[in-house]
Amino acid sequence: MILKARNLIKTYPKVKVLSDISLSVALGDTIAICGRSGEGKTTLLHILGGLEEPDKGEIEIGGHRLTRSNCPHIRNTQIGFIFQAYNLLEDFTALENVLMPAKIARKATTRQKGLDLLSLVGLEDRADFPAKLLSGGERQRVAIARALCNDPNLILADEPTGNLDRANAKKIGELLISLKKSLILVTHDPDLSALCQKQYVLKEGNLLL
Amino acid sequence: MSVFVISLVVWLVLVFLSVTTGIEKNWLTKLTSLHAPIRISPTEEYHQSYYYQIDGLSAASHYSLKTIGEKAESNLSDPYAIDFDAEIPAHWPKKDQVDPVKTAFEELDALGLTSQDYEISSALLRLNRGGGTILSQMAYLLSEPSKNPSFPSLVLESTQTKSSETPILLPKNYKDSGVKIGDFGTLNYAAPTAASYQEQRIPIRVSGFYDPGLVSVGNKCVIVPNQITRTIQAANKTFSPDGTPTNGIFVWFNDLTDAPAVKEKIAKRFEKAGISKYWKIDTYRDFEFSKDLMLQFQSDRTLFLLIAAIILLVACCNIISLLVLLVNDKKKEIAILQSMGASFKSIAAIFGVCGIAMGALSCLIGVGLAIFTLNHLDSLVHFLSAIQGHNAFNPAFFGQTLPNELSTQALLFVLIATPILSLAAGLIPAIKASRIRPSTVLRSE
Repeated sequence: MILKARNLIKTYPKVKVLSDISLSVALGDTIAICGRSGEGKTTLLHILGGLEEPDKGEIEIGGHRLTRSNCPHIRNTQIGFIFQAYNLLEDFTALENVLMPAKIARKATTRQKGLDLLSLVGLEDRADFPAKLLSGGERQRVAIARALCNDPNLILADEPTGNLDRANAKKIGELLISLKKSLILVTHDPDLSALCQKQYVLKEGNLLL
Repeated sequence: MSVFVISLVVWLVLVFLSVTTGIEKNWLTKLTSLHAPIRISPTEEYHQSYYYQIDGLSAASHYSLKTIGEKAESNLSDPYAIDFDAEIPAHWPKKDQVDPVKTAFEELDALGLTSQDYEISSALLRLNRGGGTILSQMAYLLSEPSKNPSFPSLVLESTQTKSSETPILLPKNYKDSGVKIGDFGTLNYAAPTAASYQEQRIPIRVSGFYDPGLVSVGNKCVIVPNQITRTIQAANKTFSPDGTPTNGIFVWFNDLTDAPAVKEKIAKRFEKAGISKYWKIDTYRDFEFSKDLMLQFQSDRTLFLLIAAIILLVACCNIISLLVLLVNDKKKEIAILQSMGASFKSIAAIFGVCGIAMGALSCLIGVGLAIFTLNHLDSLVHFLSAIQGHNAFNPAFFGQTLPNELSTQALLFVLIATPILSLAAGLIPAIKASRIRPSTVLRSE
């Protein structure tokens, strides 16, 4: 198992967002989590990726229990995040954005590696473009290339097609599935959800298959 | 802005402290040139001792007390002859085990220090200036400090007199008053006789002038051969108006800053030789005429350093504000880096390094500006003088030019204090940056 989440509970003031959720993801599994707005899909994804702490419960990623101290290292080496708002470093080029996780890990990187990753998402010709000059679809593809930089086993994607037109959303969806990585994605898009092996619905704090 | 303010403070601190350190050094040289960095004076115990008092009872000493110089030159430590001299009163102190004066000079010689006894007395100076004009003034007489290494540099002009009159050196203000080399006159003093006091006159001739420096009574201090001061009873316990002991030993060495260490060494040697109770050892910082000046100088510098530290602190607060604003502005980027695995430490280090870098840059600019200013200090002083229409710094106090040597102490203060304060200033935004919760920031985006 690449991810094991056990008995996750998260409560915001007066609202119980997650009540006793458990989830296991094997290597290569693709999972879609759907649900209405405000049901806690993003919260669950952030908790699974160590961006937020649950009130109770524990998470294991790649056999390591997620703690406050090892969280940054695990995020860097085992998880790739993709966000709805892309979250690129606007003043950096596409290539610099893509290689940033390797720099954080203090790994020796080459321009060629960055170009290879950009070529995987069809953007090698945009390598030296500042991120702020790219279109929405291009930015999301740069974000996907960046998520793959340190060759993680798990990709966590939060509404990856939420800001894209239908044609671009289809391309991004197919690209994510073609990565052959374990994937958990949160989406409202039924077409994207249908591409995954399993579909869950988050309703009133419970994860329903 | 912060870099500019810190650079300005660094520049101000370096220039002010360098100039004041130089002025203090010049003043110290002037203050100690007529005296010495260390003065050893006899204590009350010395004057109460058998060794000191026995001369008054001994025929070999002509029944008169001796100065330290006379004691040093005397062949006999104890001139008392039991068969010839009057009986020693029963209440007199016991005979001393060691000769305090000879031993003191021996110990000073053993330490490789240049030393010489000095005597101060006073007399009425009457100078015949020609044309029937007579200058009459009370004057302090200082025995010629012939071993003082800086004494030759104090003598402005002098000639050898072949006449029988005693040659004297006058302070330079006498020359300004019209006294010339070769003018003659007398030193008048009252000497006790069997029945009363009788005026005595010693014929003198002006053989030259000297610069008395900044000694408070310097402009009334006449330098005479030591037999004159001895003649005017310098051995008696008298006092000078500025509190300087009238008889003692001057000790010279090259570096004034060594004074406390040399004093310590002398004290230890005297202690070991058993003569410490007879002597009081003072450095130039304890001298009566310079103590207040030195303390004031020190207070001024401490006060300025305090003000500089406060300004530095304010400038560093400016760094804090700037970096905190930067942290708020870059929240999204920080959260993105955290989502990619950047640790709290590495995020904090970015802002900590920013603080240090700003401090180091300010330091470099400030030091550069200070060196430039010190190298062009004369032009600056000329400019200030031109604006005011008179000398900005009185040459009588500050010399013809202001000192422009960069103070090592000030440089160290700046090089240590600025990066430490900048690092401290960088820490607050660094902690704030490391506490950003990526989930909250990325969700709100």
